[in-house]
Amino acid sequence: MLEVRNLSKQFDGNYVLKNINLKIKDGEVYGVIGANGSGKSTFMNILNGKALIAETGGYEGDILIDGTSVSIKNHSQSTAHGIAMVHQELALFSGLSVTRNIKINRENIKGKGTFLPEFSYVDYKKDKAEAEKVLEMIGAQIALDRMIDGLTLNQKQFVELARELDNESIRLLILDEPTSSLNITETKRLLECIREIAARGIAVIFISHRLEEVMEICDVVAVLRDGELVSTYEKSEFSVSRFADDMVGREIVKAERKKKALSREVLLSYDRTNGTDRRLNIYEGEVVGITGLAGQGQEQFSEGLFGLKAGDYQVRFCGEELKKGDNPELIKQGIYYLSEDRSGTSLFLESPIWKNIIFGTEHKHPEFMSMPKLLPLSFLQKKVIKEYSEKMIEELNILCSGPEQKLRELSGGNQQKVCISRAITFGPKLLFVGEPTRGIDIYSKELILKWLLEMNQKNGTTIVITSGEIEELIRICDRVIVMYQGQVFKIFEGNIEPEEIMLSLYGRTADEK
Amino acid sequence: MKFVKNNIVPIAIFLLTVIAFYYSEMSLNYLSAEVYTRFIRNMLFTLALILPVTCGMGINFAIIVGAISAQMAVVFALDLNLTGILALLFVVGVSAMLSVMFGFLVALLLNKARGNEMIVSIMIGQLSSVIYQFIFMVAYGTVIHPLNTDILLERGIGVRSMLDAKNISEVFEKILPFKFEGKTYTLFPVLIILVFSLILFYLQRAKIGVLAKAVGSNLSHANTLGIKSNRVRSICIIISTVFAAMSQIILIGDFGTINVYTGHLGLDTFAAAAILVGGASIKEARMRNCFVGVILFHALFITSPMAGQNLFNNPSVGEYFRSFLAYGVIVIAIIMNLRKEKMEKERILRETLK
Repeated sequence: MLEVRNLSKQFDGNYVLKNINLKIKDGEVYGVIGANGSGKSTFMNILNGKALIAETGGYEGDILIDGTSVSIKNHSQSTAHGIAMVHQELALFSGLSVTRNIKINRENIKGKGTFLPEFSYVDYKKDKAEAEKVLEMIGAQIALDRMIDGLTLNQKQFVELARELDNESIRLLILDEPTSSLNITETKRLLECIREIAARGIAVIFISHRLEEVMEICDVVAVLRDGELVSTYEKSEFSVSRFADDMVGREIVKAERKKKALSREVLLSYDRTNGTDRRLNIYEGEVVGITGLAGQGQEQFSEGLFGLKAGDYQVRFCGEELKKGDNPELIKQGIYYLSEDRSGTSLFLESPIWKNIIFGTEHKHPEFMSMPKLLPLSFLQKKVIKEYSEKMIEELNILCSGPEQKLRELSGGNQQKVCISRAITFGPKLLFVGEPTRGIDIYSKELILKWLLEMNQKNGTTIVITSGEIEELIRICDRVIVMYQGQVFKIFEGNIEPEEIMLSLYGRTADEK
Repeated sequence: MKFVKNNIVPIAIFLLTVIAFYYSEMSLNYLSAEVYTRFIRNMLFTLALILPVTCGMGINFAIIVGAISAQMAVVFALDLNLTGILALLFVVGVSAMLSVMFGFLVALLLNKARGNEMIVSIMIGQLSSVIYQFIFMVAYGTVIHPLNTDILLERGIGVRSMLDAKNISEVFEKILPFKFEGKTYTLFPVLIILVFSLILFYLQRAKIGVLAKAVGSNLSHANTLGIKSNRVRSICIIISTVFAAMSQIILIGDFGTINVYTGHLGLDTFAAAAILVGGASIKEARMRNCFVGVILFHALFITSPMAGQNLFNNPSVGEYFRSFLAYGVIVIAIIMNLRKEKMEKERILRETLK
């Protein structure tokens, strides 16, 4: 159905895609995997006719649909060829109903408005009937008049899927990390749904970092590395180790924590959580993981402390009471937070890398200032800072053109590395990290985990990680706290069995079974 | 309780109005007559603000540009010595044309100033006002030679600051007149407002309304999905400008005279205050916010100076009350709306936590 010949794309002379050749058949689920910055998103953006591609000089090479060469310059051309895309960050409109979201920009209008079609009346009844049909097709039961804001993430994902499938001429569906924010059961349902879509003759391009899913659902898998298509595998040749080797082109060393005796010295304690008289302690020098299914309240300890969400508890740090949301004071005490919403709360996307690395750490590094005594009035020592940033960039393997590059231009994984390097620069006593490895390729993942552990071992930083990646937590944490329905359900210590954690995610214990 | 929480701004202003009305010692008839006049003069301006708010551009202070188009059309009509229904049709036609044109230019600028639309629209309003004044003060009589020299100042350069717009107002007076408290009023403006309300009601349910909501909800998503957001925003601004032009025609028709240099000033502030008082925010506005807001704002606007004067026995305090209202109400309404939004956000957060 789709064939791509010698597809290349350059940004200012740097090739991010080099001579990609691939063929996708009707009804095939085609997996595309690769590390961050390997060119997956660029490839998808070309197929989807993103404005970014045309603005930066278009692409080179040919895209053929059913054997005829087509040019995709904008989104509507892409749609006209039957290409649809479900975005990783859902593109849904809050304040509009489910129906309106599904039929957006494809509304049934009364009368023909060739000149100024915007002034035609929208036939909401017909819209609703059609939206219902699509939702039924993918087996989702969502009230059509409900506002998008009230839906769960999973439901939203289905609405987004329905919107793309509603386009009747759809031939190719691109799914960009559709499962990254879903839990296990939800993921399973989505994968079933994708199978059904493919069975109807629609080709699917499936992008994911979760290799198990890719193995389960795809017919063919293509591996991208540094903008090149390094290999393609048929179903019979699938193997995680092959994929992993091809993706990084080098051996991965998994970060692991050497278990040691806990100090039991309480560093931070949450008292009277959720109105109960229970208490949660964080011990000095430990690495502790907080996990749970989506929406079980695992974020309340970090985000609540920093005033981003409601948190129903009192906090004591080194025995002294802290005020929630008084972030300057928290930071002064040496408590630091890297939120899971990296671009939203942890980074200055329009600023260069060096600014992001040193921001807020000046008082700990007098060498960054030319007149440290003047504190905020001092000039910055650009040279020292630049050298320091370059050192950080090298140590954390941040892919960039130099410390002056703007953060917006980096890929997600590299942005996260910048976050980590600021935490290292700051050197906190207690570090909260939210989803440190979400949406990040395997190689960078291990590097980030390794650095977190190193901070813990070298500087004695206590680290609290909120994450859904249980396997990682088991590897690097001393203790894992499982949340269920807003409460601490169980705390695991010592040799942790993954099966036990899995059970407790659903609010069960091993003996119950 | 929920009703009070959701409508805290209009309710607070309503209570304030009742207190002001009590101390002003006015009769209810006098107040309703005054509010009626101000309602017909201001309603359409306020309705003009809805679509730009919906598509995420905030309050369009550049509706002044629409008022200017209407002023220009009226001066042209006077220049051509048009009278009666012909004059009104001419004014409507020309001001509609001009306001579409100017609205398009405003939209071009605002699309370049994404994220700062409100402040830019204020500046556009100020600038266009100065350019307009310059044309009529200096160009008339020097570059432009009017047919009807009566509209010029005695020295032959510049239009008189006050012109008689009887040609428009006499059409207004003849249609659906009624007497109240010894004065004659007409229902014609209400009819026009009704027609435009219906048009707006339709537009909100037409494709443009849906797209505007989508663009206002999330601009980058709209672009990702191939919605021509700039086009949608431009159409909203143009409609807004046309509405403002029509409103200015009603205002001139109701006054019977035209203040060439100042007739268009201050309307944007009143309209903004009214819509905010009605419970709208700079992110969400509905038609009922406009109707409630215009009536409440002007009722308070009329009663408060008298109340101030009676309470403090000092006429200047009364005047101070009035200025405080126009600007103070905007600030207070914005603060209260922000609080409401914040509480709403926290409520959603709390629910997701449970």
